[in-house]
Amino acid sequence: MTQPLPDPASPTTYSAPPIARVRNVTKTYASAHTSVTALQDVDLDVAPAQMTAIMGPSGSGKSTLMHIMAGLDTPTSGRVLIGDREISALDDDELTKLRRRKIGFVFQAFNLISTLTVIDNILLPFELDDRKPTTQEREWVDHLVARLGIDHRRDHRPNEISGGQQQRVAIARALATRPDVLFADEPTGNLDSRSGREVMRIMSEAVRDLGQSIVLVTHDPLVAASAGRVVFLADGRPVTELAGTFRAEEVAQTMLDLESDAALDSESDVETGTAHGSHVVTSATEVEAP
Amino acid sequence: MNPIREIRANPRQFAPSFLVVFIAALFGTAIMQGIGILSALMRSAEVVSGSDTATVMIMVVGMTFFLIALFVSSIVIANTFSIIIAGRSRQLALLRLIGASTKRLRRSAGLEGLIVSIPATLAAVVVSTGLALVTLGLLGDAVTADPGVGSFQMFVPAVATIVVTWYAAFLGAKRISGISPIEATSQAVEQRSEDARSSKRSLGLALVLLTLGLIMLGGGAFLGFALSNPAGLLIATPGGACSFLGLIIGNAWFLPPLQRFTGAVMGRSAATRLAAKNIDRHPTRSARTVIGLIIGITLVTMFATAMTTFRDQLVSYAQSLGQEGFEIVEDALMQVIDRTMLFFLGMVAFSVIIAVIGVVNALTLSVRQRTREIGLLMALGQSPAKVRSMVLGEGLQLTAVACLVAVPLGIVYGWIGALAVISPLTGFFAPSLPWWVLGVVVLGSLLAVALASRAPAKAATTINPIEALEAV
Repeated sequence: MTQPLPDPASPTTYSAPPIARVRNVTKTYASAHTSVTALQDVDLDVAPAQMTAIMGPSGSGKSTLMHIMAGLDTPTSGRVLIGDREISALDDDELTKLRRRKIGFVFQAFNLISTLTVIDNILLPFELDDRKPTTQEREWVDHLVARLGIDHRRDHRPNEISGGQQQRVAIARALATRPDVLFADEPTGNLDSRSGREVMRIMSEAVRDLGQSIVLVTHDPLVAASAGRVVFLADGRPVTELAGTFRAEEVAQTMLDLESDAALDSESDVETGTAHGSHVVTSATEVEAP
Repeated sequence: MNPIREIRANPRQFAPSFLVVFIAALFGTAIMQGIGILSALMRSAEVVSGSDTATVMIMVVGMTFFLIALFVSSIVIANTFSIIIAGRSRQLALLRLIGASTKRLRRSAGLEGLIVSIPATLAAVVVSTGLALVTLGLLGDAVTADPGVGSFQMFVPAVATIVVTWYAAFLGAKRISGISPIEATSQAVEQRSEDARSSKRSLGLALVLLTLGLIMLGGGAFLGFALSNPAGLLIATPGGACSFLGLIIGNAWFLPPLQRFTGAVMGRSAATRLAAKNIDRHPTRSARTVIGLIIGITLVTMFATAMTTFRDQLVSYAQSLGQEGFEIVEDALMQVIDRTMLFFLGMVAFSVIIAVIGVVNALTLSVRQRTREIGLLMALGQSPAKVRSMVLGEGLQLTAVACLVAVPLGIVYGWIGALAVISPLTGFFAPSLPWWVLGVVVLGSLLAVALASRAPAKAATTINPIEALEAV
């Protein structure tokens, strides 16, 4: 586990060691007749205390990459590390424990248990861990609840609060255990633009003020613009990235270029009638959120 | 997650389990207390010294029927929980995602079963004890010995019911281990089709049991009519149990094709075809719904056929002897046999009732889980009457499959039983079919399912298409 890792493909240098590492990860889905490559030989380092956005046309493998980084799916080959822990070798029990303690999740919809109150939803990770939160953790949760502006909603049920508030509860739950990494999959996908901006502001603050590491999957350039770094995937591998200061327009332009490349590619396939390498772009959609 | 919370949030989905546990526990406790009163009555009257043997005999018979009812209940409860879990898979996936282990989730599903079973069993014990006390009051001075209505062993069946429910709920929650946390992350997930078959090992076991059972059944009957050896029953009975157990274990293999067949036979209207498709989509669930009914109907048919055949053969044997003045004895004999048959049928009726509840329960839950789909059908112009007949058709098809399997099976079992017992006297004979019992049980279960499926059918048509399509 402590053996030296090869240099990441990305030339960016970090002051602190990466919080999550992906090495030579390939993921293929084999069915009876076809084999589909969703990820191909991906290398990626995620810096701590930063928001890393993953973007790409649909079918580019971004959701698959996130699932694999979060230990929800296993790579066909390659290694995945959270901190110094190689998670691609863990069994289901250990992965479950890892998700409970080291990883937070926020996604598009259906984030909360409808029968639980807001505060019970937030404390759920502790309950699943069969323990009561310590005084310190309790204070932390109170702090989060106050900070996210859901204090007065503590005893409400999810269906009694707005979508934006539900998403804030989901963020509070994800942050309650102070996870190493927070994974967010289209966290604003179901929200109106105002609530969406609010949610992104909260996530940015979590990075800035709490030093939270976040991996964000999105197709929305405005959302991605809140990130410190945007990695673009196409055809199952990172093709380019933006880092430092950039604007939503640049993100949008890069996305447009990628989409038109993909469109051109598939057109030329039709014209020449040749098979397109070993991977099929559209076929990864079955693992993507629609 | 927290079992009490789940039950409080949606108590209605546990109503059928509650009812089934109540009936099973009531049946078991009533048998124990009834036997207690009966033997106290015999002791008070100082009847024959052999009353202890009689008590033990009745006890064994009663407990056998209780165990059968309990077995059917456990199938119904396991099925209920597997359907409840399927409906909750989204939430379970979310819990898995944020770090709940499958073991833990299954355990808490089992606890839900335990929590539902305790009040149901308590209610059954109270009702049964009330009935026992009323009976004792009516008997008055005729009972001087202590019937022990409140003693501990009276409640052993109740405790057994609780334990069985707990375990059945745990078994029914098996599909939790198949839920992937990824299911929670995306917006819309099509429900995976369940694995149509249980393991190959269970098929192997089923085939072995079936073959062994059939050989023993045939051997038992052959001993009777060909070798005039009355020991045939001792071989045929375990043979029957063996082959039946084989069918129950292998149900996931042989029922789905039969279900498809009845679906094709029932007609080609859109409603019937949709009903058949729904059954086919959850072959295991449907098979498990049907197997409870099969057990009940097979037992009813078996007892009725065996008793009717036995009676007819005995009468014709007596007539062949041509003794004078036999009519009086004959009448008395026929009465005894008919009453014994009614007693057995009454005992089995409990299992049939439990199985019918199981069918209706499966329909209710399947309608509730298809809210979107039914909403879509109605948005596309399916009339409410058609939707109702689709639900009804689903229930009737399931019941028809059960009758199709159970009636011939019961006749064969009953016939072989009668052959083994009496053919040493009479030689080979064909079974006498108990037409009225067959009519009552087949029409009765079809009618019961049809009537009871009105509630889920109505629920299906009150679905508002717009809301159904919006609901995620």
